[in-house]
Amino acid sequence: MATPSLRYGLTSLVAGLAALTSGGCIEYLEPGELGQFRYLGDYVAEEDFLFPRPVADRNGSVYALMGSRDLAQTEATVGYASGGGWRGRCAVHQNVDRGLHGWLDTTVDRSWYWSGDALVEVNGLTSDCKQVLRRDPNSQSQLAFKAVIPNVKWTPSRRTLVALVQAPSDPVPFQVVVDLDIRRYSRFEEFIPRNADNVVALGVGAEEETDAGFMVVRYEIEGDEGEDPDVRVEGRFLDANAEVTDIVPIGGLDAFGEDAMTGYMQLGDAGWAAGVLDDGSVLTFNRSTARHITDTGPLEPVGVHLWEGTAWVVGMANGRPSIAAVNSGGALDNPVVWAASERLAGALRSNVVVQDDRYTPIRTLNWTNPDPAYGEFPLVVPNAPWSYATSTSLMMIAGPTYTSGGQTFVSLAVGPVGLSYP
Amino acid sequence: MSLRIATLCFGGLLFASGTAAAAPPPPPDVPEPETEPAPESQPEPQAAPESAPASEPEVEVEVEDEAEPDAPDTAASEPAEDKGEDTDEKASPFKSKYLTIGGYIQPQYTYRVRKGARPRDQQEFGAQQTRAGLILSGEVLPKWSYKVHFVIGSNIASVVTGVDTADYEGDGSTDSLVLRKSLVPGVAIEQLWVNYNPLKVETKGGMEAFSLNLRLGQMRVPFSKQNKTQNSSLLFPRRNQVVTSFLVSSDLGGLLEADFADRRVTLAGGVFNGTGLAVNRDNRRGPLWSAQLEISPFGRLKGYESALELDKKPRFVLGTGMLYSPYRLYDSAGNDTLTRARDLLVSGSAKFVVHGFYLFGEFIRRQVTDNLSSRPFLSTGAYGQMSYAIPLGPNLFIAPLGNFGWSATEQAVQPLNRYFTSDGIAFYFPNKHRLDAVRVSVLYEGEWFVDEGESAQGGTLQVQVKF
Repeated sequence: MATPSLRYGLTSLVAGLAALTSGGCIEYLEPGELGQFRYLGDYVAEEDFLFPRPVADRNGSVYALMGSRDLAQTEATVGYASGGGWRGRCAVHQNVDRGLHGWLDTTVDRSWYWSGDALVEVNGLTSDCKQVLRRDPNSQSQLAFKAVIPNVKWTPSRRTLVALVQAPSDPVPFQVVVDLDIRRYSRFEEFIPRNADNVVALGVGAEEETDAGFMVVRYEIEGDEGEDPDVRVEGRFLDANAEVTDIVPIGGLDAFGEDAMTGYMQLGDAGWAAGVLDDGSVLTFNRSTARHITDTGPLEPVGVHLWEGTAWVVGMANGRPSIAAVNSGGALDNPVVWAASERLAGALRSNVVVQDDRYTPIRTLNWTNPDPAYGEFPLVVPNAPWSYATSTSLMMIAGPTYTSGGQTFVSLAVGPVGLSYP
Repeated sequence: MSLRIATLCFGGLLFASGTAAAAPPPPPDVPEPETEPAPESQPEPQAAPESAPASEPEVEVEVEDEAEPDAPDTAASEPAEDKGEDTDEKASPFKSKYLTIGGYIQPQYTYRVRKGARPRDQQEFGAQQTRAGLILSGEVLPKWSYKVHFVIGSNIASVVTGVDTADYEGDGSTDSLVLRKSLVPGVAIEQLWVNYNPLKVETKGGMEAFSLNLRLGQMRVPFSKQNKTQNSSLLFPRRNQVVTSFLVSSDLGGLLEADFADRRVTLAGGVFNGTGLAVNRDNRRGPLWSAQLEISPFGRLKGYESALELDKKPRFVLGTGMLYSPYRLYDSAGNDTLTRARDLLVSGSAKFVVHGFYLFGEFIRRQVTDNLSSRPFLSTGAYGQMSYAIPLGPNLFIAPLGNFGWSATEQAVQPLNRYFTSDGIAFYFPNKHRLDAVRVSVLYEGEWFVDEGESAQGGTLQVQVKF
């Protein structure tokens, strides 16, 4: 029935559609490849400065954060997805005795960071920032976010996260569900046991499956008169309603204090959560048992990353960036060299083109031999690189330095990089 | 104001075109009317030539009872082809050479339960989706035609009626502004165009061998088959959510359309503003290029979704479309960000009809890339829908119908997979002008946002009246 020309036309149509829809013309960055970096700004170069992983919202806007683990200083800024410079200099922080923790999570056009005792929302459309639940709406007491699970449960209707908050008058903190849209808590559970003193969080982590996560808490139970208090450290798994689902006693961590983890903990598909403590030891635990790994062999752990379901302890071994998987028994596999980090380091040992769009007309600059803004090697940082696109993350680099008024400043830029794990 | 003018025109036309409206129905084998409305002075359409396309429907209800006063006028009941546009108004009794008035009214009641929402929003019910359309078209000179399609909705416009300051933490500082809004009736323009037909070649047998049309104005972008279909010609009360997640409404631009072999092959291409794309970027500037090809080897098919194509001969149409928008991005101050982006959408569709059975499927793929981010935005969607019309006497068709759709957005980052379905039954009540003069649809509707952990289910009752 159909003529040859019609058959040819139909065949061409199907073939053309297959080619157009295959997505074959999409090219991602290769592991170790640098994308287009954007000039972030100039910042005081101080030894204890911390530059947590940059993150991106679903619109593509990039969020950068600068601060310190120990000092009460924080600055957050937004780079719009469309380009055109960075906006906002959000400096909201609470509690001078506690430093910056980092970005928690993002949604379509929002991102939240945790700094000191403050939970802060940054608007990716306006670059406006706002502290969430600075005061209890009922008592007007100032609230301290003792711990925040870095996982925003996001549905088309609402955005929530789970946190541990405490007012000065509260004997123990409360586990709360924070409604991020109206910036109030919608559910709360009192910390158990109620006679606990000095409740602090050593670290937190997210669990994608439950839309919530877990935390390692340390508290004291007052002993009889004249006796030392009973110190307890526990891993606690919480669900999206801020209810504790599992508690795992952890031994050997009595001496560690608040924010002892170098970065967020990670939970692999094997069910083991892992975190690196500030003495370089590694804590792993699941819902029934815990392991404190003090002997990591040649590996000097820096942090734990999660990649395609596997928790990896990253660090340095024999002067090279290395990585060791947390296996199904909660132990560490033998470390291997992290080739993607070395390739990125190699890529930085040349001219890196940086787009300076802080002012118009926009310029492109060549930075010679820049360094990672944080860490000895690229990506060897406490927090897992943000999943920006397929096999692509974001990295901050430090370029030229100069001195002004007796202070040394360093130029920073943020851009996408290709990465892979062994 | 426009509505008032339209109402006056409507009343005037009722008087002016009384003869046409009162004309007796043509015999069942009358061919489809010409694309252009026949001048009032022209005689009634002649009987179909033997070479008439085999796609003419056979309306069994008329054969059963020709004396039935409500039997539909087969010639008028099938909307005439109009360069790929659905032309419901051509079946209107209110037509003249210069002005034809048609339209539709779609009251609709929806009840939906969304468990994961805030308590206030967990149940949604009401007739908010109710709307009406008024379509004016005509030919002011030979080869020059026009169309204006107004949509009047019960809650089209959202207006701010008040502003409150919000202090969520009770610390005396303003945390946010709370806008009090009201949804008010509004008028939107769906189509507004002028068409010029400079070339039309017919064979000796009267078949249209080739036709060229140039169109300028606001129109539905020829890309996705359903996106080109107008509101009253949809099978379901709403457009499939897969389509709406890729495209919205119509766009402003120009279109060139070429039809070959009695419109068995239609090729259209145009350039538009790009504001119809579902892209929330206000500082972009660049044209939107559109192209669409449709092939219906066994005879042209109507440009609307319905099981009321009663021809016993099976026919199908294959189509593909592409949208390409290269654009520049500017910052809020209007400066060039040096960001160059490319937005590419492709679609493919297949439609099959035979003797009251209707089957349609379409997929859409979108990819947005730029020279800055190394982060492509990839989305894919597909859906299928079907219906089967069963005649239950001269004045009633009953048609089970269903659809299922899937869309995945942001596939290069963290894909969000969503599934949609809508299933139910439609009752069609013909009149002498249309087989679908009145349609009553009762549907179950479900949507599952699997990666976001939320779902909604409910039902919709819609009554559609065409005039």
